Amino acid sequence: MKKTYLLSVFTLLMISCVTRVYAGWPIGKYRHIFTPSFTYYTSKNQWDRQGKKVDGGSGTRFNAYSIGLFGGVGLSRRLDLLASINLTSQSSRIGSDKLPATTGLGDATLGLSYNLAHWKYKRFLSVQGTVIAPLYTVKNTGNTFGYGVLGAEGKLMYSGQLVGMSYINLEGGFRRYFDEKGPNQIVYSLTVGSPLDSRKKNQLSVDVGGVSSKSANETITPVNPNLVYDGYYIKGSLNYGHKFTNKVSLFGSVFTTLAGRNAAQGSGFVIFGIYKF
Amino acid sequence: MLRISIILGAILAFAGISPALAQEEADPKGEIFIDTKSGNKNAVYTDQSSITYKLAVKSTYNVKQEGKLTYDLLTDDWKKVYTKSVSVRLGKKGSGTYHVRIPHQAAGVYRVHFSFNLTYYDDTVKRVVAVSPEKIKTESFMPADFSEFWSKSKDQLAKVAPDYKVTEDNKQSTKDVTVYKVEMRSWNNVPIRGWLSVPTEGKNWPVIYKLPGYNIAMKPEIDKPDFAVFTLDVRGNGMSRDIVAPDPDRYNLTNVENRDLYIYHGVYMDCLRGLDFIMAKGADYKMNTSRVCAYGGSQGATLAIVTAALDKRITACTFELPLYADMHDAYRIGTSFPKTTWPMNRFQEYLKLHRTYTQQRFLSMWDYYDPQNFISRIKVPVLMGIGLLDEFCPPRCSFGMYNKLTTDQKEYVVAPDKAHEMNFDYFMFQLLWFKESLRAPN
Repeated sequence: MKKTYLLSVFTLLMISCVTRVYAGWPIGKYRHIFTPSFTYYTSKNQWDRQGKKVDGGSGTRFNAYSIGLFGGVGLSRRLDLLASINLTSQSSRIGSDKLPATTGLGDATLGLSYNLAHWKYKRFLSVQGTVIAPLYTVKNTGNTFGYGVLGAEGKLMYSGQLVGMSYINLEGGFRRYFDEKGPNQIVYSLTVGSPLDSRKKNQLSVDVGGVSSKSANETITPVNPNLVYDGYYIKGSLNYGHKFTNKVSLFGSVFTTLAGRNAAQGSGFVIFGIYKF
Repeated sequence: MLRISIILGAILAFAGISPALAQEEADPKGEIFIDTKSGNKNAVYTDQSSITYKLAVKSTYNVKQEGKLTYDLLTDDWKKVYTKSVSVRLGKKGSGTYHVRIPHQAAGVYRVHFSFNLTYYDDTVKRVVAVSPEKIKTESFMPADFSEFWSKSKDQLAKVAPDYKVTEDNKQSTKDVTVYKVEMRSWNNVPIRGWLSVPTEGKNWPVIYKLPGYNIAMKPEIDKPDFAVFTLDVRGNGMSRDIVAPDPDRYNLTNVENRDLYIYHGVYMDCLRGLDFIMAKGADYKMNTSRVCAYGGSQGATLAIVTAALDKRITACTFELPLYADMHDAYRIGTSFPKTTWPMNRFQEYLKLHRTYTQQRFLSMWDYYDPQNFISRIKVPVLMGIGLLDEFCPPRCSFGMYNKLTTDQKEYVVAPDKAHEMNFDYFMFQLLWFKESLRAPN
């Protein structure tokens, strides 16, 4: 059970990290973006079904390392094609029991983002639809890099100038996994950031986001022990980015889960580069 | 006695007040605010749709006013094609909304005049609308030897050694942008100068090649972090007045009677020589010479069009408020105003003083320089901006020229409430357009 909670939260964190790289700003016709990332996540404790903190106990620890690739293509002035994939290695220890480490491809995503409206080219409202496809089979391999079923997500994104040079990105959407148990999830995030200089070479941002997951059937089956049907988590992160040229930037982010129910308490960091061409 | 005094006092007091009241009623103080809103975005309509406006009127007068609102539709050379009146009643400090509908019109540019004639107020609000502007067709006056003239001119320019000199300007450079002063030799060996600004970090910068407006001295542009920018002072302009230095007021009259010696012959060649510099020295100064956009406003618009038309090394072209487009029509429209507008007033004055140089000869000479005779050669993406209220560059002439473009990668933006300038929205869009056309990241 503990292993299940630890792993499921990491999966959700991974998906949100990878797809939120470029927010709601259109990439632009003829332009592309490529983002490699490295994520480290660690967890020991959790929140139980009542939202009460539970200590994982001495020796309990879950660690995961992941390399992700995200790419976007500006198909037109308003329409972008987005895709991501990741390779994850994870290990768990529960008390004195060390579980075998597993490595493999996780969920791949493919989506389209469309800019619905803009306000003086400074603020944008966009809609995005994404398909989530597992590149692993839980049943055959026992790997638990995700829900192991096909899923889809639709979301609205509002992004742009806030005050002065500061910016905002607000997203809200719905995600569903096509299993008889679902789950159905509400996903959301808010990012506020600002460049630290006039040429926007350095920038700082904070974001808060999370997932609230519901299912008609809360039974956990042995075949998919990592699926969380009913629970939520809220995660916060602090991000710093440096722009080397207008094409190459490097970002670092530290994150931690702030609240939850039926979810692991974890933290970690992400390093990712953005290459625009 | 006291009662009589009181009554007399009241009468006298009232007599004192009455003239003041009468004066106030005869000449009441106040303002009328009139807000006009076009029924179509940017006041561009199709030839199948009515022309509609909503007028919101607010009075600050302390008296009622009555009268009428007359709305007239005129062609851009002042021929009235439609008129209608409606009655207007405004209460004390009152307001009203009036919906105007004018039947659909043939493709063209039209003036819409809203005249309020009220008890104590008379004013006319003037607007301009474009109807199916992409269907506007204007006559072309292309000389038979136009191509040969410019081909020979380019060959002659190629014989002039450019003698480029590039000097870093430490005073104007910043930690983010390096500024260089550039000098070279152009047509007839005349020296011309410009400014090159290149971001300090990175390389392979796409280039914005900016050409000057009329008598506008160029400066380094250091606020474009995604581009190298080369701004050129053509002969007689800014830093390039060593040999050609006409009176600024008479710049476009310099040798106007001689096609070969006309100042714009050298000016157009200067623009090509500036492009030669970008191509020759691009690699040395971190420029991507496969991504160069010609850009200018007003006279600079004409120079950008000519440069893109005569030199295939230009990969995109954007301009706003194109001066001299369709000179035949522009001259006719400019001289139809109660007071001839600039620049046609300069040409008109000249022709009046030099009777042997007729209007026909003047326009025939200008046919070699008219940007509408160059524009069909442009095969790269084009963005045009125009202000509908522009009196220096009649919108009909701008559209007539635009419609001669043969590339399908063309678009325009209209600023309906602007005269010889564009609005913020246009410049925001143009920046994104620069990035798209020159493949710079968003």
